[in-house]
Amino acid sequence: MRRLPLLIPIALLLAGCAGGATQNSGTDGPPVRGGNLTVAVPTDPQSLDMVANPGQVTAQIGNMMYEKLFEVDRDFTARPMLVDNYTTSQDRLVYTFTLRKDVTFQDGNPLTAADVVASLDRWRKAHRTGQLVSPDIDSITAGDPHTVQLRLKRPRYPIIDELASPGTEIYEAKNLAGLPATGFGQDKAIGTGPYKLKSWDIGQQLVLQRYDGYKSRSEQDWGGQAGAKHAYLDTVTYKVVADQDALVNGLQTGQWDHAMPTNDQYESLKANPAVVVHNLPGGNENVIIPNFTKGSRFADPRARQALNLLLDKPAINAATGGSKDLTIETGAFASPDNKSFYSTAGEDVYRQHDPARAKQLLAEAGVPAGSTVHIVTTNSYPEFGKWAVLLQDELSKIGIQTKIDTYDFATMLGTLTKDPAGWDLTTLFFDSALTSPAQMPALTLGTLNGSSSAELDALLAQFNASTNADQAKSTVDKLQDLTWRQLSVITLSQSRLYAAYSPRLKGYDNFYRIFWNSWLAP
Amino acid sequence: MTRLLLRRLRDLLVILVVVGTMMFFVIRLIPGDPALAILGPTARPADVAALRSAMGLDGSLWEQYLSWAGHVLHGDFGSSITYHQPVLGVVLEHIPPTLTLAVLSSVISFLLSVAVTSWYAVSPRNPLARALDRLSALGMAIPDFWISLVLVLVFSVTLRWLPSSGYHSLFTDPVQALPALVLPLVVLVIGQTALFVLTLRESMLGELPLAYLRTARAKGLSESRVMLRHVLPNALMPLITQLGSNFAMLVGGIVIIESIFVIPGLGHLLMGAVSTRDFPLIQGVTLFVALLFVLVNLLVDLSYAAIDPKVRVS
Amino acid sequence: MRRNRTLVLAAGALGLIVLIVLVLPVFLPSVSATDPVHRLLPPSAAHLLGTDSYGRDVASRLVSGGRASLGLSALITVCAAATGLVIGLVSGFFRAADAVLMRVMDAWMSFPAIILAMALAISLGASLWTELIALTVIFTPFTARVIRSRVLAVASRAYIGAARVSGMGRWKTLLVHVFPNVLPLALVQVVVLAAAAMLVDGAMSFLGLGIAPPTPTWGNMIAEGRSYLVTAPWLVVVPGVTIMLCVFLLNLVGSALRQAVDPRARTLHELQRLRTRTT
Repeated sequence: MRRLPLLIPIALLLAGCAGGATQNSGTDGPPVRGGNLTVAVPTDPQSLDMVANPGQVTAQIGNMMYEKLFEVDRDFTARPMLVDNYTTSQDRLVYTFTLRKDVTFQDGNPLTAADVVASLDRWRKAHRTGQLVSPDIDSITAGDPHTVQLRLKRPRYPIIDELASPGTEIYEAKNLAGLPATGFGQDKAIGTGPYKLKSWDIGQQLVLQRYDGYKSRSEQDWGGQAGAKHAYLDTVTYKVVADQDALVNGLQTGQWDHAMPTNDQYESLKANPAVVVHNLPGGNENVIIPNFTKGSRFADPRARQALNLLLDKPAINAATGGSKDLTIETGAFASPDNKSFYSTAGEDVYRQHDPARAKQLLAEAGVPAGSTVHIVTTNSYPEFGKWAVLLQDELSKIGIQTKIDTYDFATMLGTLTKDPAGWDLTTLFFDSALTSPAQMPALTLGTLNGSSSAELDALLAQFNASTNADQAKSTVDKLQDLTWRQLSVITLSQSRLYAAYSPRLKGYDNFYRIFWNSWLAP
Repeated sequence: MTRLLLRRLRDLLVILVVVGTMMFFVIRLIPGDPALAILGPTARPADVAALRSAMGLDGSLWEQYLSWAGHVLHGDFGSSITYHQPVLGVVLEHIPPTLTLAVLSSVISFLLSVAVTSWYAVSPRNPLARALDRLSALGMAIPDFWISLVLVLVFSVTLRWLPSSGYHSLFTDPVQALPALVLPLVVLVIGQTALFVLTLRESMLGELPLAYLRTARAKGLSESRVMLRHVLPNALMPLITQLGSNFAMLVGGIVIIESIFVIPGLGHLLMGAVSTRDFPLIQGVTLFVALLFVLVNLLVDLSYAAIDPKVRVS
Repeated sequence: MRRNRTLVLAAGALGLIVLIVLVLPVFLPSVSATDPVHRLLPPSAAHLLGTDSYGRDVASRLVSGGRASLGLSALITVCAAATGLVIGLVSGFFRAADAVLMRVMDAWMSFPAIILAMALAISLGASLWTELIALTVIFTPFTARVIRSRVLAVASRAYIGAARVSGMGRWKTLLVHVFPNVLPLALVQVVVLAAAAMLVDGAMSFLGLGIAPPTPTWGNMIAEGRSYLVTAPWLVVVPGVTIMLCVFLLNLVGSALRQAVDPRARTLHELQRLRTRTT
């Protein structure tokens, strides 16, 4: 007992020194059928209804169970999944989808057009993206059992991408009748995907098992969530591990085979030869959100400009990003992997840094030295607290004081919405691999910080009216530019995410928690 | 005895009503509700309201309270918002891990503390016995969350002797269950043993000046025999009380250790329920924990009274 | 004699710690100055205890965190001891009040402490004040119970009865005769409370329910340092050992004092039991 305090640092040093470079083990060899993969997830999915619960864990487990008309490939391009082929009318108002004929739900029932209509109708009504798309939709109707017709009121360029977005999963029509806003229970969690629900110990673990009646598409090279799906693993067990350190420790000691730890842990995991560490495509847009509402210190555009000038983004990123490998110094709202939305417009504003000018501008905007800025943040995500710390330090250098209120996530949201003028800054991050403006929080944040504007709405309409990729891209540039002019969010950086997994996991496409086509080496 | 029991049962009801009511209002004072927690920052207020209503969270606070209290009186604790299952079932599912930890750590600590203290009492000059006895003061001072981190680092991550987290049922899967239990048990045992050793030593010191010992010694019994045969048994009573109330508290929530070692017990359940604002579940767990706490304390008092009728049970 | 030596040594060491915490910040680098270039540096001459993940000086934070941790423990101790003393005195001396007060204390104690602390921290924001309220509420019934049992013992003594017979008012009897007899125990209680408060404060901060970063406390330093346990162990080891040392010294002082004041007051352990409430 007495010797323990001496023992600890030595043990720590040993642990710290061990390890070398991580190598992906070249060829994965021929697939092996069978076995169970254990995956650590940070929270219980709480619901397997992807419309009622837009949470990430729900989506990642749901993607193994359900399928959409279209799915994104590893480059976030929409590819047909349940759709065999589709036609678009000359005026771009009518889309006719022909469904694949051999698809069955996990309860054995065949997929029909009625299921698609019911699922998409629910999406329009109850899902945030669906609600934003819905005004452009005239009707969704079933032609014959394998044909669905989508009529638009006006052409909508990203409609196919939106039909590949979370919330558009196709469930059985009979399971959707009369659902409350809380969604369906696990008895109705039935899709057309290669894995079906086996058991769910809420709060502890969820097990998926192979759906033997699954009929795969044939495209082998699309990757991501699209193309051929081979269910090699018998079962996939998702273990709920809320504690970050327990997550990493369990990965290192082989209690689970796959995890997506926080960026803090990247360097030490990378140094561990017993774990494979690999970047995932896409990532997060890290943002500081100024409040536009009257009464906030940042209601005045000059105050927001000042904040942008003040923030030493490279320094903040270095202190909080975990590793250079994981940080992309860009002010874009989309990841560079998300090619059709990644834009460097406004990058010059992102790179501005001039604390002296910031002080002056703030004073002009009615926020003189000695004022207090109220930051509301959450300890549910460690990064947020860190940004708040660095913000405080930088603000204090120009004589501005800060009051930081740290709540848990639900309370933070409650506090922000309950008293719209009672806060000045908050912190969030957004998925930067989304593929249409309607899905992007950075562009639909008006409800939270009062940043909506006629100019933004006009640009969004312009984007939807695009007829080709070049037009769309030029509007994306304008949207990105507007974001940096209005400063509805101040992007600090793009964080890449990574997965850390056992070297036994083979065939994994390094695409989030997609484990079909994966197997465990014996 | 019967009157005592009736009075305690009446008190128990009062306590449950007070705790239940307090809890109901305390958790509803928190801004942020389950609907908002699910729908996120860009949700429309109308959708949040609809979801809230589907969760049965509409109506005034007072109406909600009356409806909840009415249901509880009929044995219906409502349905968990996140688990989509009756609260009672969810709570019952999470009891075994906590109970396993509480029972095992209490028993081990009890045996250890009796062993250490009697060894020291019999051979006060043995340096090891003395060191162990003295260490108890240090054991009381170790923050358990801190020692948990250190133990995981040393024994799981570095030496790979024990799993860093996890729980399996001791009855259905003892081979996997035991190694995973070692570290959390060690952490609980360190603090408890230290406390028990101090309690026992103090109570033994209290026995020493008493007259019957002089008689025993006069009869020619050796000092170690006096200690083991007379002092120790008489000094055990306060330790048993301590053990009982300690146990009640453990059952009430081993929050940090369950969270560090990912053990799906009551403390874990409660933390999760608070962060997702699962109101019915929070209320259910609280009531249950309060009930358990009061019952265990009652049992301790009653057994105390049964063993020693002179004790006035207050 | 040995008791006294322990008492003097332990109290002296504690005094030294308090002195360091009060005086040293003047000579150390700033607590909040971040320096991304020099993050996670091991202990060296420039940074005696190394730097943390923001490049802040750990020694400065430890000392400044000591102000928060020790200060908070002291505050909690004073508040809980005061409320506990009043409730204990009244409840022990006035039989009518006793039944009600003790039932309230029972209910109070069976209310999961962690929920209360969470509810406060979550609704009002994690801060010094919410933690102070939460811990005072948690500790009060324990103090009240200890004081009450002492009052019961004192009140049964003959001279109290004599005072009553001679026509002294009840409140006056309580203040003149009972209170002075209970005071020494209350003082011992204060020391034990402080030790318990420090452990519980550490646990609260660890769960994110205590004083929120960036204000350093020993507990939130451990919580923040957790992610770097392997790469920068000093972030966790240093504040952990410090908490341990302080609690250990406080316990030593407490038990030595108790021996001096009342060798048979074993009810004191009621309080030390509190640590298990937050494990």
